[in-house]
Amino acid sequence: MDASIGTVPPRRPDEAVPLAPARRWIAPLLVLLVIVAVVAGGYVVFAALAEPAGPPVGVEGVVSIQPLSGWEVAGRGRSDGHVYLRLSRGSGTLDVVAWGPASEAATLATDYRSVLQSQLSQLQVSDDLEAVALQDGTVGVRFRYVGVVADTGATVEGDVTCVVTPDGQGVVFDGWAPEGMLSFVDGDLETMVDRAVIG
Amino acid sequence: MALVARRRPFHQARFLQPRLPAFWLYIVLLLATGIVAVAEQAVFRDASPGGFALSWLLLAVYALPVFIVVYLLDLYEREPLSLMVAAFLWGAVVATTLSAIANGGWGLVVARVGGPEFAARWTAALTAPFVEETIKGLGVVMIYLIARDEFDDVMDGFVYGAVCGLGFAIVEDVVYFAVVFGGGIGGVLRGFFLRVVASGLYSHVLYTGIVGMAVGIVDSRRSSASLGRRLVQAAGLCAVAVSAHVLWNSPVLDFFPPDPWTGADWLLIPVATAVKGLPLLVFVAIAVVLARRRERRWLHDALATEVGGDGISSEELRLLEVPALRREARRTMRRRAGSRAASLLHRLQREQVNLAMVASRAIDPADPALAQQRALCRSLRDALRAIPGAAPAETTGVAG
Repeated sequence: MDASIGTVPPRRPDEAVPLAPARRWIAPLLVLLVIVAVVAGGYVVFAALAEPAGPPVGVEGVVSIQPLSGWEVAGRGRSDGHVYLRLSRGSGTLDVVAWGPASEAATLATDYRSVLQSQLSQLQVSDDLEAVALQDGTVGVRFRYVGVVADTGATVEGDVTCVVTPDGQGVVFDGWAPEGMLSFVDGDLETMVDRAVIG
Repeated sequence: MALVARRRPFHQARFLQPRLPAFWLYIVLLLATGIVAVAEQAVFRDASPGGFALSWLLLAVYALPVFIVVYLLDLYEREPLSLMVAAFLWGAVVATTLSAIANGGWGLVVARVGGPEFAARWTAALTAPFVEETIKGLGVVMIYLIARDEFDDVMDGFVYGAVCGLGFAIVEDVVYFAVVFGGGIGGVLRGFFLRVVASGLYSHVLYTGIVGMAVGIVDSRRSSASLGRRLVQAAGLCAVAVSAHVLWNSPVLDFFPPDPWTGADWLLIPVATAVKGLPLLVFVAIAVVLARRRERRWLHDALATEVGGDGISSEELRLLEVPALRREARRTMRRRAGSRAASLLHRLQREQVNLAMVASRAIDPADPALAQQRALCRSLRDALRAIPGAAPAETTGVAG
């Protein structure tokens, strides 16, 4: 028996044709390109689609906000002495409240929590205040809440952004929706709030 | 006793290919997404250590048999474990992490275009199937780019795709158990029933298996179909996978009993999942059977000119073509001549499959590689015959 048989593995005839070094890069780069397109594409398309519909809507001369397409002014009024504007799209709602004089955003957030406390039962509020900056440079804080509307028994969840203008006027953006629906409007809410013009 | 030369397995590509850019892209993506994935798992572990441990335990019990079944599906040439693990990790780490980010972005688009009510019903159907099948499918493409020689047929693509889908399913299940089902022991058991017991046969393993078949078609049928034809076939398979995923995620044909489930509701859940998942399972079963038949035909054709030569006899070919007969021949050999003889027969059978590969690619019957492989098979047969007790099996056609 010849023990040397098979010591060199057979070679496939098509096995000895490696790609040129430069060509080896093409396919991985294409893969990377597709990954970037798939992962980032949604955000880019969303930004392109997030076009304002109609002129900006002002509240008490303190803040103006531009509804995105699909959002409509659903009401204006005064509640607990504060002037508000309500925008809605389907089950999503954005209340923009001209709060009046306020010292700082964190204090305003505490005050607004009291308002929510009076309107919602079983209120749960996120522990931390998240620092935010709007596109015009105004800084503020953001928190989340879940609660039950007393008269309907419906659970709602919301995302509140509080800012204070340079001349000491507080503005509250309260975006909310029935439980489970907020994630389907928070892209629009965040875009409109970020683009709001304060002062 | 005759000596048989040792040699590395034929045509077994390694995962570690530092000369290939594809290998480094894979590593970079795995490391980058791995940091995120590990951090996410740590959050789940801290939130509910018992539920987290139970999640992984239950999913391991599910994943291991599935992995083995998929591994054994390939009739003649098992895929290298290093590549199988790489495919699994792509699905488990890279695809889950990137898909979560991408689904978020495309979900915003659906909500922007359709409004919140439409988005609540259709986002899962209109985002995840396209995003996830693309990213998981790219995992199979990456394995192909790292080890092109391993893609010999459609079944190879299915195997890598299914394993990639399995990895994805496992990590997605852990996330669902923690986030949707609460992460406690009860929630994990409830989630396991819904997502694995009632649905485990249908989801990502099948989708990505089909996408893997598409990758396999594009590469392995170069000699039998034009590029255009192969691309059309591959696109058709991808469309089947995505459509099945869309149906699964959509509110159409939703026969789930309303939550909370009690009593007979638990029996209705597997029925509800079967309505959506069974057609795809049947499709995949047919596709796999056809692919295996194709493999068998290929083996027969490739060895037809070798029968009667040094490499293989007609009886050996008859046994080689049917996996059950091959296994039975080895069992018979073990009874007659011991485990070493059975092991040698196993190796002879493997090398005869390799002979088919060499023969199918050699242009000239006198190709040195072909002659070498024939000689190797003959040396193995000689060594087998030299083992006391092995020779009688020859009369039944097992070894000779």
